[in-house]
Amino acid sequence: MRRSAVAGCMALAGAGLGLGAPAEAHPHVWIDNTATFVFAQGKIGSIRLRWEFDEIFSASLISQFDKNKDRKLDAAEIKELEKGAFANLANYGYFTYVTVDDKPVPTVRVTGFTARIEKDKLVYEFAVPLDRPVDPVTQAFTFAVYDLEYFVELDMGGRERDGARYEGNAGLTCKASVGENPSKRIYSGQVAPPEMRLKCVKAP
Amino acid sequence: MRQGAVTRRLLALAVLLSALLAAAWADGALAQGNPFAPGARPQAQPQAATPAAAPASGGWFADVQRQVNRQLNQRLAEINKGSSAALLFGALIAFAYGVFHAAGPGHGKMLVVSYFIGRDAHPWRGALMGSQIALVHVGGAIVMALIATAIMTGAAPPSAEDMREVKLASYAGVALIGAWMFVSVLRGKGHAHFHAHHDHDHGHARDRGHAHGHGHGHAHGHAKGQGRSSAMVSLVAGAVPCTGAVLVLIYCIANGIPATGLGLVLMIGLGMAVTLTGFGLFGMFARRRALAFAARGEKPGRPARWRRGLDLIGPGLILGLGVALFIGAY
Repeated sequence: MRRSAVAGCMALAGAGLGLGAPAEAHPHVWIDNTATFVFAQGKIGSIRLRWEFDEIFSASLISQFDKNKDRKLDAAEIKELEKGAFANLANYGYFTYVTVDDKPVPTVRVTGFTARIEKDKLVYEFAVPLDRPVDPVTQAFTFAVYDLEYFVELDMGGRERDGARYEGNAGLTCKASVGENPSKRIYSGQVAPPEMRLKCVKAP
Repeated sequence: MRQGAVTRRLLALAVLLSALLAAAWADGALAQGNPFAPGARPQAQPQAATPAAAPASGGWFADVQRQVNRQLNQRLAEINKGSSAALLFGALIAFAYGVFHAAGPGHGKMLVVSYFIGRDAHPWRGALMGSQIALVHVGGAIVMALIATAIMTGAAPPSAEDMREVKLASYAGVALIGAWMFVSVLRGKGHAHFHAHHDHDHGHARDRGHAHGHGHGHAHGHAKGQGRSSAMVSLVAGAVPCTGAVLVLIYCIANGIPATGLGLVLMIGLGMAVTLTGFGLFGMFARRRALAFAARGEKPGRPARWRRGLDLIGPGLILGLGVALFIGAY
Protein backbone atom coordinates (compact mmCIF):
# COMPACT_ATOMS: atom_id res chain seq x y z
CA MET A 1 0.00 0.00 0.00
CA ARG A 2 2.63 2.50 1.05
CA ARG A 3 4.95 1.30 -1.64
CA SER A 4 2.34 1.79 -4.32
CA ALA A 5 1.60 5.27 -3.06
CA VAL A 6 5.31 6.03 -3.35
CA ALA A 7 5.27 4.65 -6.89
CA GLY A 8 2.33 6.89 -7.70
CA CYS A 9 4.11 9.96 -6.38
CA MET A 10 7.22 9.09 -8.33
CA ALA A 11 5.19 8.74 -11.49
CA LEU A 12 3.67 12.11 -10.71
CA ALA A 13 7.03 13.75 -10.29
CA GLY A 14 8.29 12.08 -13.46
CA ALA A 15 5.34 13.38 -15.42
CA GLY A 16 5.93 16.84 -14.04
CA LEU A 17 9.59 16.82 -14.96
CA GLY A 18 9.35 15.10 -18.27
CA LEU A 19 6.99 17.51 -19.94
CA GLY A 20 7.61 20.97 -21.18
CA ALA A 21 4.85 23.27 -22.24
CA PRO A 22 3.27 21.68 -25.29
CA ALA A 23 1.63 23.58 -28.10
CA GLU A 24 -1.14 22.40 -30.35
CA ALA A 25 -0.83 21.46 -34.00
CA HIS A 26 0.59 24.42 -35.83
CA PRO A 27 0.94 26.38 -38.06
CA HIS A 28 -2.43 27.51 -39.39
CA VAL A 29 -1.56 30.63 -41.32
CA TRP A 30 1.11 31.06 -43.98
CA ILE A 31 2.69 34.28 -45.08
CA ASP A 32 5.06 34.72 -48.00
CA ASN A 33 7.31 37.49 -46.82
CA THR A 34 9.35 39.69 -49.14
CA ALA A 35 11.81 42.13 -47.62
CA THR A 36 13.15 45.22 -49.36
CA PHE A 37 16.07 46.91 -47.67
CA VAL A 38 15.78 50.62 -48.26
CA PHE A 39 19.10 52.52 -48.24
CA ALA A 40 19.78 56.18 -47.65
CA GLN A 41 23.34 57.52 -47.85
CA GLY A 42 24.75 54.04 -47.92
CA LYS A 43 22.91 52.87 -44.80
CA ILE A 44 19.79 50.81 -44.31
CA GLY A 45 17.15 53.20 -43.01
CA SER A 46 14.15 50.91 -43.12
CA ILE A 47 12.92 47.49 -44.18
CA ARG A 48 9.84 47.38 -46.34
CA LEU A 49 7.81 44.20 -45.97
CA ARG A 50 5.27 42.62 -48.23
CA TRP A 51 3.17 39.85 -46.72
CA GLU A 52 1.06 37.62 -48.91
CA PHE A 53 -1.36 35.44 -46.94
CA ASP A 54 -2.47 31.93 -47.88
CA GLU A 55 -5.87 31.61 -49.57
CA ILE A 56 -7.78 30.32 -46.57
CA PHE A 57 -6.75 32.96 -44.09
CA SER A 58 -7.04 35.54 -46.87
CA ALA A 59 -10.62 34.42 -47.50
CA SER A 60 -11.44 34.68 -43.83
CA LEU A 61 -10.06 38.22 -43.52
CA ILE A 62 -11.51 39.35 -46.86
CA SER A 63 -14.98 38.14 -45.89
CA GLN A 64 -14.73 40.16 -42.71
CA PHE A 65 -13.20 43.37 -43.98
CA ASP A 66 -14.28 43.74 -47.61
CA LYS A 67 -17.60 45.04 -46.39
CA ASN A 68 -19.06 45.99 -49.77
CA LYS A 69 -17.86 42.71 -51.35
CA ASP A 70 -16.31 44.38 -54.38
CA ARG A 71 -13.08 42.39 -53.99
CA LYS A 72 -11.23 45.65 -53.45
CA LEU A 73 -10.18 47.32 -50.24
CA ASP A 74 -10.95 51.00 -50.06
CA ALA A 75 -9.37 53.41 -47.60
CA ALA A 76 -12.03 52.91 -44.95
CA GLU A 77 -11.82 49.12 -45.21
CA ILE A 78 -8.03 49.22 -44.97
CA LYS A 79 -8.34 51.31 -41.83
CA GLU A 80 -10.70 48.75 -40.26
CA LEU A 81 -8.43 45.91 -41.34
CA GLU A 82 -5.44 47.63 -39.78
CA LYS A 83 -7.35 48.01 -36.54
CA GLY A 84 -8.89 44.53 -36.52
CA ALA A 85 -6.14 42.33 -37.90
CA PHE A 86 -2.81 44.14 -37.89
CA ALA A 87 -2.39 46.69 -35.11
CA ASN A 88 -2.32 43.96 -32.49
CA LEU A 89 0.87 42.57 -33.98
CA ALA A 90 2.64 45.38 -32.10
CA ASN A 91 2.44 42.97 -29.16
CA TYR A 92 4.43 40.51 -31.24
CA GLY A 93 7.02 42.97 -32.57
CA TYR A 94 5.30 42.51 -35.96
CA PHE A 95 7.00 39.10 -36.06
CA THR A 96 10.21 40.86 -37.12
CA TYR A 97 13.58 40.37 -35.49
CA VAL A 98 16.55 42.57 -36.25
CA THR A 99 20.03 42.31 -34.81
CA VAL A 100 22.89 44.74 -35.31
CA ASP A 101 26.33 43.49 -34.31
CA ASP A 102 24.58 40.54 -32.64
CA LYS A 103 22.48 42.79 -30.43
CA PRO A 104 18.70 42.69 -30.83
CA VAL A 105 17.06 45.90 -32.01
CA PRO A 106 13.42 45.83 -30.93
CA THR A 107 10.78 46.49 -33.56
CA VAL A 108 8.36 48.83 -31.86
CA ARG A 109 6.67 50.69 -34.70
CA VAL A 110 5.84 50.39 -38.36
CA THR A 111 4.88 52.97 -40.96
CA GLY A 112 2.80 53.15 -44.10
CA PHE A 113 0.50 50.18 -43.59
CA THR A 114 -1.61 49.34 -46.59
CA ALA A 115 -3.42 46.27 -47.86
CA ARG A 116 -5.00 44.99 -51.05
CA ILE A 117 -6.52 41.91 -52.59
CA GLU A 118 -4.49 40.27 -55.35
CA LYS A 119 -6.49 37.46 -56.96
CA ASP A 120 -7.56 35.35 -53.98
CA LYS A 121 -4.84 36.54 -51.69
CA LEU A 122 -4.66 39.31 -49.18
CA VAL A 123 -1.46 41.37 -49.22
CA TYR A 124 -0.16 43.61 -46.44
CA GLU A 125 2.57 46.17 -46.99
CA PHE A 126 4.34 48.21 -44.37
CA ALA A 127 7.80 49.41 -43.41
CA VAL A 128 9.90 48.85 -40.31
CA PRO A 129 12.04 51.95 -39.74
CA LEU A 130 15.45 51.58 -38.11
CA ASP A 131 15.98 54.43 -35.68
CA ARG A 132 19.72 54.11 -36.13
CA PRO A 133 20.50 53.40 -39.78
CA VAL A 134 22.72 50.37 -40.22
CA ASP A 135 25.87 50.24 -42.30
CA PRO A 136 25.91 46.70 -43.72
CA VAL A 137 29.53 47.12 -44.84
CA THR A 138 30.93 47.51 -41.35
CA GLN A 139 28.13 46.18 -39.15
CA ALA A 140 26.82 42.65 -38.81
CA PHE A 141 23.14 42.77 -39.70
CA THR A 142 20.54 40.02 -39.45
CA PHE A 143 16.84 40.07 -40.17
CA ALA A 144 14.21 37.42 -39.50
CA VAL A 145 10.44 37.10 -39.49
CA TYR A 146 8.77 34.41 -37.41
CA ASP A 147 5.98 33.83 -34.94
CA LEU A 148 7.30 32.55 -31.61
CA GLU A 149 4.03 30.69 -31.13
CA TYR A 150 4.13 29.23 -34.61
CA PHE A 151 0.48 30.02 -35.26
CA VAL A 152 1.82 31.68 -38.37
CA GLU A 153 4.59 30.46 -40.59
CA LEU A 154 6.39 33.20 -42.46
CA ASP A 155 8.39 32.21 -45.50
CA MET A 156 11.48 34.39 -45.61
CA GLY A 157 12.02 34.42 -49.32
CA GLY A 158 8.61 35.02 -50.73
CA ARG A 159 8.41 33.07 -53.96
CA GLU A 160 12.08 33.43 -54.74
CA ARG A 161 14.28 31.77 -52.19
CA ASP A 162 16.70 34.65 -51.80
CA GLY A 163 13.89 37.14 -51.66
CA ALA A 164 15.87 40.11 -50.43
CA ARG A 165 15.50 43.22 -52.53
CA TYR A 166 17.36 46.48 -52.31
CA GLU A 167 16.50 50.05 -52.98
CA GLY A 168 18.88 53.01 -53.15
CA ASN A 169 21.96 50.88 -52.62
CA ALA A 170 23.92 52.44 -55.50
CA GLY A 171 27.63 51.83 -55.04
CA LEU A 172 27.06 48.75 -52.87
CA THR A 173 26.87 45.10 -53.81
CA CYS A 174 24.73 43.25 -51.29
CA LYS A 175 24.15 39.60 -50.66
CA ALA A 176 21.69 38.00 -48.27
CA SER A 177 22.23 34.48 -47.04
CA VAL A 178 19.38 32.68 -45.35
CA GLY A 179 20.27 30.15 -42.70
CA GLU A 180 18.84 28.68 -39.53
CA ASN A 181 19.78 30.12 -36.20
CA PRO A 182 19.84 27.08 -33.95
CA SER A 183 19.95 29.19 -30.81
CA LYS A 184 16.44 30.49 -31.43
CA ARG A 185 14.09 27.57 -31.52
CA ILE A 186 10.33 27.81 -31.50
CA TYR A 187 7.42 25.36 -31.19
CA SER A 188 8.77 23.45 -28.20
CA GLY A 189 12.22 23.56 -29.73
CA GLN A 190 11.17 21.71 -32.86
CA VAL A 191 11.55 24.48 -35.39
CA ALA A 192 14.52 26.72 -36.08
CA PRO A 193 13.18 29.69 -38.02
CA PRO A 194 15.25 31.00 -40.92
CA GLU A 195 17.34 34.11 -40.46
CA MET A 196 18.74 36.40 -43.11
CA ARG A 197 22.29 37.69 -42.81
CA LEU A 198 22.98 40.69 -44.97
CA LYS A 199 26.44 41.65 -46.12
CA CYS A 200 27.38 44.46 -48.48
CA VAL A 201 30.67 45.47 -50.08
CA LYS A 202 31.57 48.66 -51.85
CA ALA A 203 31.22 48.09 -55.57
CA PRO A 204 34.56 48.41 -57.40
CA MET B 1 -27.00 1.09 -25.13
CA ARG B 2 -25.43 2.83 -22.21
CA GLN B 3 -22.37 3.68 -24.22
CA GLY B 4 -24.55 5.62 -26.62
CA ALA B 5 -25.96 7.61 -23.73
CA VAL B 6 -22.49 8.46 -22.50
CA THR B 7 -21.46 9.59 -25.96
CA ARG B 8 -24.59 11.68 -26.34
CA ARG B 9 -24.01 13.37 -23.02
CA LEU B 10 -20.42 13.97 -23.95
CA LEU B 11 -21.39 15.57 -27.22
CA ALA B 12 -23.89 17.76 -25.44
CA LEU B 13 -21.19 18.87 -23.00
CA ALA B 14 -18.74 19.52 -25.80
CA VAL B 15 -21.32 21.62 -27.59
CA LEU B 16 -21.98 23.58 -24.42
CA LEU B 17 -18.27 24.14 -23.84
CA SER B 18 -17.68 25.33 -27.38
CA ALA B 19 -20.67 27.65 -27.17
CA LEU B 20 -19.22 29.18 -24.01
CA LEU B 21 -15.88 29.54 -25.73
CA ALA B 22 -17.39 31.23 -28.75
CA ALA B 23 -19.43 33.53 -26.53
CA ALA B 24 -16.32 34.52 -24.61
CA TRP B 25 -14.53 35.16 -27.86
CA ALA B 26 -17.38 37.26 -29.23
CA ASP B 27 -17.20 39.23 -26.02
CA GLY B 28 -13.58 39.99 -26.82
CA ALA B 29 -12.48 38.93 -23.38
CA LEU B 30 -10.55 35.93 -24.56
CA ALA B 31 -9.04 37.29 -27.72
CA GLN B 32 -5.89 35.25 -27.49
CA GLY B 33 -4.08 32.72 -29.54
CA ASN B 34 -4.65 34.29 -32.92
CA PRO B 35 -1.98 36.99 -32.97
CA PHE B 36 -3.96 39.10 -35.44
CA ALA B 37 -6.96 39.39 -33.12
CA PRO B 38 -7.10 42.58 -31.08
CA GLY B 39 -6.04 41.92 -27.50
CA ALA B 40 -3.93 38.83 -28.19
CA ARG B 41 -0.60 38.74 -26.43
CA PRO B 42 2.32 36.40 -26.94
CA GLN B 43 2.94 33.67 -24.40
CA ALA B 44 5.77 31.76 -25.99
CA GLN B 45 9.39 32.40 -25.27
CA PRO B 46 12.21 31.36 -27.54
CA GLN B 47 13.77 28.10 -26.44
CA ALA B 48 17.04 28.14 -24.60
CA ALA B 49 20.09 27.87 -26.78
CA THR B 50 20.91 24.36 -27.90
CA PRO B 51 24.29 23.28 -29.22
CA ALA B 52 24.46 23.92 -32.93
CA ALA B 53 25.54 20.34 -33.61
CA ALA B 54 22.54 18.74 -31.92
CA PRO B 55 19.76 17.91 -34.36
CA ALA B 56 16.34 19.29 -33.48
CA SER B 57 14.45 16.62 -31.60
CA GLY B 58 11.23 15.90 -33.44
CA GLY B 59 12.21 18.33 -36.16
CA TRP B 60 11.06 15.89 -38.83
CA PHE B 61 7.69 15.66 -37.16
CA ALA B 62 7.16 19.40 -37.13
CA ASP B 63 8.23 19.37 -40.75
CA VAL B 64 5.74 16.69 -41.82
CA GLN B 65 3.00 18.37 -39.82
CA ARG B 66 3.76 21.67 -41.50
CA GLN B 67 3.59 20.05 -44.93
CA VAL B 68 0.30 18.33 -44.15
CA ASN B 69 -1.26 21.52 -42.77
CA ARG B 70 -0.06 23.45 -45.79
CA GLN B 71 -1.36 20.78 -48.17
CA LEU B 72 -4.78 20.81 -46.55
CA ASN B 73 -4.83 24.57 -46.85
CA GLN B 74 -3.95 24.51 -50.54
CA ARG B 75 -6.26 21.61 -51.44
CA LEU B 76 -9.10 23.45 -49.78
CA ALA B 77 -8.60 26.42 -52.07
CA GLU B 78 -8.62 24.05 -55.09
CA ILE B 79 -11.71 22.20 -53.88
CA ASN B 80 -13.44 25.52 -53.68
CA LYS B 81 -12.59 26.12 -57.32
CA GLY B 82 -14.45 22.93 -58.15
CA SER B 83 -11.71 20.33 -58.58
CA SER B 84 -13.04 16.88 -57.68
CA ALA B 85 -9.57 15.33 -57.76
CA ALA B 86 -8.62 17.89 -55.13
CA LEU B 87 -11.64 16.81 -53.09
CA LEU B 88 -10.47 13.21 -53.01
CA PHE B 89 -6.91 14.19 -52.24
CA GLY B 90 -8.17 16.74 -49.75
CA ALA B 91 -10.01 14.00 -47.87
CA LEU B 92 -6.79 11.99 -47.61
CA ILE B 93 -4.88 15.04 -46.47
CA ALA B 94 -7.58 15.79 -43.89
CA PHE B 95 -7.16 12.25 -42.58
CA ALA B 96 -3.39 12.76 -42.40
CA TYR B 97 -3.95 16.08 -40.66
CA GLY B 98 -5.99 14.24 -38.03
CA VAL B 99 -3.32 11.57 -37.60
CA PHE B 100 -0.62 14.17 -37.09
CA HIS B 101 -2.73 16.53 -35.07
CA ALA B 102 -3.41 13.80 -32.53
CA ALA B 103 0.22 12.70 -32.47
CA GLY B 104 1.57 16.23 -32.17
CA PRO B 105 2.35 18.18 -29.05
CA GLY B 106 -0.68 18.22 -26.80
CA HIS B 107 -2.10 16.30 -23.90
CA GLY B 108 -4.56 13.95 -25.61
CA LYS B 109 -2.22 11.09 -26.32
CA MET B 110 -0.52 11.21 -22.90
CA LEU B 111 -3.93 11.02 -21.29
CA VAL B 112 -4.90 7.98 -23.32
CA VAL B 113 -1.65 6.13 -22.65
CA SER B 114 -1.81 6.88 -18.91
CA TYR B 115 -5.44 5.86 -18.74
CA PHE B 116 -4.77 2.43 -20.18
CA ILE B 117 -1.64 1.89 -18.13
CA GLY B 118 -3.87 2.27 -15.09
CA ARG B 119 -6.54 -0.31 -15.80
CA ASP B 120 -7.36 -3.59 -17.47
CA ALA B 121 -9.22 -3.04 -20.68
CA HIS B 122 -10.15 -4.80 -23.88
CA PRO B 123 -8.48 -3.41 -26.98
CA TRP B 124 -11.85 -2.23 -28.32
CA ARG B 125 -11.98 0.16 -25.37
CA GLY B 126 -8.99 1.92 -26.85
CA ALA B 127 -10.77 2.29 -30.18
CA LEU B 128 -13.87 3.49 -28.39
CA MET B 129 -11.98 6.13 -26.45
CA GLY B 130 -10.11 7.24 -29.56
CA SER B 131 -13.40 7.65 -31.39
CA GLN B 132 -15.01 9.43 -28.46
CA ILE B 133 -12.21 11.97 -28.27
CA ALA B 134 -12.33 12.55 -32.01
CA LEU B 135 -16.13 12.90 -31.93
CA VAL B 136 -16.04 15.42 -29.10
CA HIS B 137 -13.32 17.30 -30.93
CA VAL B 138 -15.20 17.44 -34.23
CA GLY B 139 -18.47 18.33 -32.49
CA GLY B 140 -16.75 21.23 -30.76
CA ALA B 141 -15.22 22.43 -34.01
CA ILE B 142 -18.62 22.41 -35.73
CA VAL B 143 -20.21 24.46 -32.98
CA MET B 144 -17.31 26.94 -32.94
CA ALA B 145 -17.47 27.33 -36.71
CA LEU B 146 -21.25 27.79 -36.74
CA ILE B 147 -21.15 30.41 -34.04
CA ALA B 148 -18.13 32.10 -35.61
CA THR B 149 -19.97 32.28 -38.93
CA ALA B 150 -23.09 33.64 -37.31
CA ILE B 151 -21.39 36.42 -35.37
CA MET B 152 -18.50 37.15 -37.71
CA THR B 153 -17.67 40.74 -36.96
CA GLY B 154 -14.52 42.81 -37.10
CA ALA B 155 -12.21 40.32 -35.43
CA ALA B 156 -10.00 37.66 -36.95
CA PRO B 157 -11.06 34.08 -36.08
CA PRO B 158 -10.04 32.77 -32.67
CA SER B 159 -7.64 30.05 -31.74
CA ALA B 160 -9.36 28.42 -28.82
CA GLU B 161 -6.55 26.00 -28.15
CA ASP B 162 -4.15 28.86 -27.51
CA MET B 163 -6.34 30.85 -25.15
CA ARG B 164 -4.76 30.90 -21.74
CA GLU B 165 -8.03 30.58 -19.84
CA VAL B 166 -9.11 27.64 -21.96
CA LYS B 167 -5.77 25.96 -21.45
CA LEU B 168 -5.90 26.49 -17.70
CA ALA B 169 -9.44 25.15 -17.50
CA SER B 170 -8.69 22.06 -19.53
CA TYR B 171 -5.44 21.34 -17.65
CA ALA B 172 -7.27 21.73 -14.36
CA GLY B 173 -9.82 19.27 -15.73
CA VAL B 174 -7.05 16.80 -16.52
CA ALA B 175 -5.63 17.15 -13.01
CA LEU B 176 -9.05 16.77 -11.38
CA ILE B 177 -9.88 13.63 -13.30
CA GLY B 178 -6.47 12.21 -12.46
CA ALA B 179 -7.00 13.02 -8.79
CA TRP B 180 -10.47 11.53 -8.82
CA MET B 181 -9.27 8.33 -10.43
CA PHE B 182 -6.28 8.17 -8.08
CA VAL B 183 -8.46 8.55 -5.00
CA SER B 184 -11.00 6.01 -6.18
CA VAL B 185 -8.22 3.48 -6.69
CA LEU B 186 -6.83 4.24 -3.21
CA ARG B 187 -10.26 3.95 -1.65
CA GLY B 188 -11.14 0.72 -3.34
CA LYS B 189 -9.74 -1.58 -0.67
CA GLY B 190 -9.02 -4.56 -2.79
CA HIS B 191 -9.53 -3.83 -6.39
CA ALA B 192 -10.89 -0.69 -7.91
CA HIS B 193 -12.85 -2.52 -10.56
CA PHE B 194 -14.88 -4.46 -8.07
CA HIS B 195 -16.14 -1.26 -6.57
CA ALA B 196 -17.07 0.28 -9.83
CA HIS B 197 -18.87 -2.92 -10.65
CA HIS B 198 -20.99 -2.84 -7.52
CA ASP B 199 -21.90 0.82 -7.66
CA HIS B 200 -22.88 0.72 -11.22
CA ASP B 201 -24.94 -2.37 -11.22
CA HIS B 202 -27.25 -0.93 -8.63
CA GLY B 203 -27.53 2.38 -10.38
CA HIS B 204 -28.21 0.66 -13.60
CA ALA B 205 -30.95 -1.51 -12.19
CA ARG B 206 -32.70 1.51 -10.73
CA ASP B 207 -32.30 3.60 -13.86
CA ARG B 208 -33.83 1.15 -16.18
CA GLY B 209 -36.42 -0.15 -13.77
CA HIS B 210 -35.79 -3.76 -14.57
CA ALA B 211 -34.12 -6.09 -12.18
CA HIS B 212 -30.61 -6.79 -13.25
CA GLY B 213 -29.20 -7.10 -9.78
CA HIS B 214 -25.99 -8.96 -9.42
CA GLY B 215 -26.69 -11.66 -11.84
CA HIS B 216 -25.65 -9.27 -14.56
CA GLY B 217 -22.10 -10.41 -14.35
CA HIS B 218 -18.79 -8.87 -13.68
CA ALA B 219 -17.72 -8.01 -17.18
CA HIS B 220 -20.68 -5.78 -17.83
CA GLY B 221 -20.43 -3.84 -14.59
CA HIS B 222 -16.74 -3.50 -15.09
CA ALA B 223 -17.19 -2.04 -18.53
CA LYS B 224 -19.72 0.46 -17.27
CA GLY B 225 -17.40 1.55 -14.49
CA GLN B 226 -14.88 2.31 -17.18
CA GLY B 227 -17.51 4.01 -19.28
CA ARG B 228 -17.79 6.95 -16.94
CA SER B 229 -14.10 7.67 -16.41
CA SER B 230 -13.22 7.04 -20.04
CA ALA B 231 -16.00 9.40 -21.06
CA MET B 232 -14.61 12.11 -18.79
CA VAL B 233 -11.09 11.60 -20.10
CA SER B 234 -12.43 11.82 -23.65
CA LEU B 235 -14.23 15.02 -22.87
CA VAL B 236 -11.17 16.71 -21.43
CA ALA B 237 -8.90 15.41 -24.15
CA GLY B 238 -11.19 16.42 -26.98
CA ALA B 239 -13.23 19.38 -25.81
CA VAL B 240 -11.08 22.17 -27.17
CA PRO B 241 -11.47 22.07 -30.93
CA CYS B 242 -8.39 22.42 -33.08
CA THR B 243 -7.95 25.62 -35.00
CA GLY B 244 -7.34 23.70 -38.21
CA ALA B 245 -10.77 22.07 -38.18
CA VAL B 246 -12.48 25.34 -37.25
CA LEU B 247 -10.72 27.22 -40.06
CA VAL B 248 -11.65 24.52 -42.59
CA LEU B 249 -15.30 24.71 -41.58
CA ILE B 250 -15.49 28.49 -41.51
CA TYR B 251 -13.95 28.61 -44.96
CA CYS B 252 -16.30 25.98 -46.40
CA ILE B 253 -19.39 27.54 -44.87
CA ALA B 254 -18.39 30.97 -46.14
CA ASN B 255 -17.96 29.55 -49.64
CA GLY B 256 -21.24 27.68 -49.67
CA ILE B 257 -19.77 24.16 -49.47
CA PRO B 258 -20.65 23.21 -45.86
CA ALA B 259 -21.10 19.51 -46.72
CA THR B 260 -17.54 19.38 -48.01
CA GLY B 261 -16.35 21.05 -44.84
CA LEU B 262 -18.23 18.57 -42.70
CA GLY B 263 -16.77 15.67 -44.68
CA LEU B 264 -13.25 16.99 -44.32
CA VAL B 265 -13.63 17.58 -40.61
CA LEU B 266 -15.00 14.07 -40.16
CA MET B 267 -11.91 12.79 -41.97
CA ILE B 268 -9.79 14.81 -39.54
CA GLY B 269 -11.69 13.14 -36.69
CA LEU B 270 -11.16 9.70 -38.21
CA GLY B 271 -7.43 10.33 -38.47
CA MET B 272 -7.32 11.44 -34.85
CA ALA B 273 -9.26 8.35 -33.75
CA VAL B 274 -6.74 6.09 -35.47
CA THR B 275 -3.75 7.73 -33.79
CA LEU B 276 -5.36 7.88 -30.36
CA THR B 277 -6.43 4.24 -30.60
CA GLY B 278 -2.83 3.41 -31.35
CA PHE B 279 -1.69 5.23 -28.24
CA GLY B 280 -4.38 3.46 -26.21
CA LEU B 281 -3.19 0.07 -27.43
CA PHE B 282 0.35 1.08 -26.56
CA GLY B 283 -0.72 1.84 -22.98
CA MET B 284 -2.49 -1.53 -22.70
CA PHE B 285 0.52 -3.31 -24.13
CA ALA B 286 2.82 -1.65 -21.61
CA ARG B 287 0.54 -2.70 -18.76
CA ARG B 288 0.27 -6.27 -19.98
CA ARG B 289 3.99 -6.61 -20.41
CA ALA B 290 4.61 -5.25 -16.92
CA LEU B 291 2.05 -7.62 -15.38
CA ALA B 292 3.41 -10.57 -17.32
CA PHE B 293 6.88 -9.70 -16.07
CA ALA B 294 5.60 -9.50 -12.48
CA ALA B 295 3.95 -12.90 -12.80
CA ARG B 296 7.18 -14.53 -13.92
CA GLY B 297 8.80 -14.33 -10.48
CA GLU B 298 8.31 -16.86 -7.71
CA LYS B 299 7.08 -14.37 -5.15
CA PRO B 300 3.37 -14.97 -4.56
CA GLY B 301 2.35 -11.39 -3.72
CA ARG B 302 4.20 -9.67 -6.52
CA PRO B 303 1.68 -9.74 -9.37
CA ALA B 304 -1.01 -8.20 -7.14
CA ARG B 305 1.38 -5.51 -5.89
CA TRP B 306 2.43 -4.63 -9.42
CA ARG B 307 -1.14 -4.51 -10.55
CA ARG B 308 -2.00 -2.15 -7.75
CA GLY B 309 1.07 -0.07 -8.49
CA LEU B 310 0.04 0.29 -12.12
CA ASP B 311 -3.54 1.08 -11.07
CA LEU B 312 -2.09 4.05 -9.18
CA ILE B 313 0.55 5.03 -11.71
CA GLY B 314 -2.01 5.51 -14.50
CA PRO B 315 -4.13 8.06 -12.62
CA GLY B 316 -0.95 9.46 -11.03
CA LEU B 317 0.42 10.20 -14.49
CA ILE B 318 -2.81 11.93 -15.49
CA LEU B 319 -2.78 13.98 -12.30
CA GLY B 320 0.90 14.85 -12.75
CA LEU B 321 0.35 15.75 -16.38
CA GLY B 322 -2.54 18.05 -15.49
CA VAL B 323 -0.62 19.74 -12.68
CA ALA B 324 2.53 20.17 -14.78
CA LEU B 325 0.62 21.61 -17.71
CA PHE B 326 -1.39 23.91 -15.46
CA ILE B 327 1.75 25.28 -13.79
CA GLY B 328 3.41 25.61 -17.18
CA ALA B 329 0.50 27.62 -18.57
CA TYR B 330 -0.14 29.70 -15.47
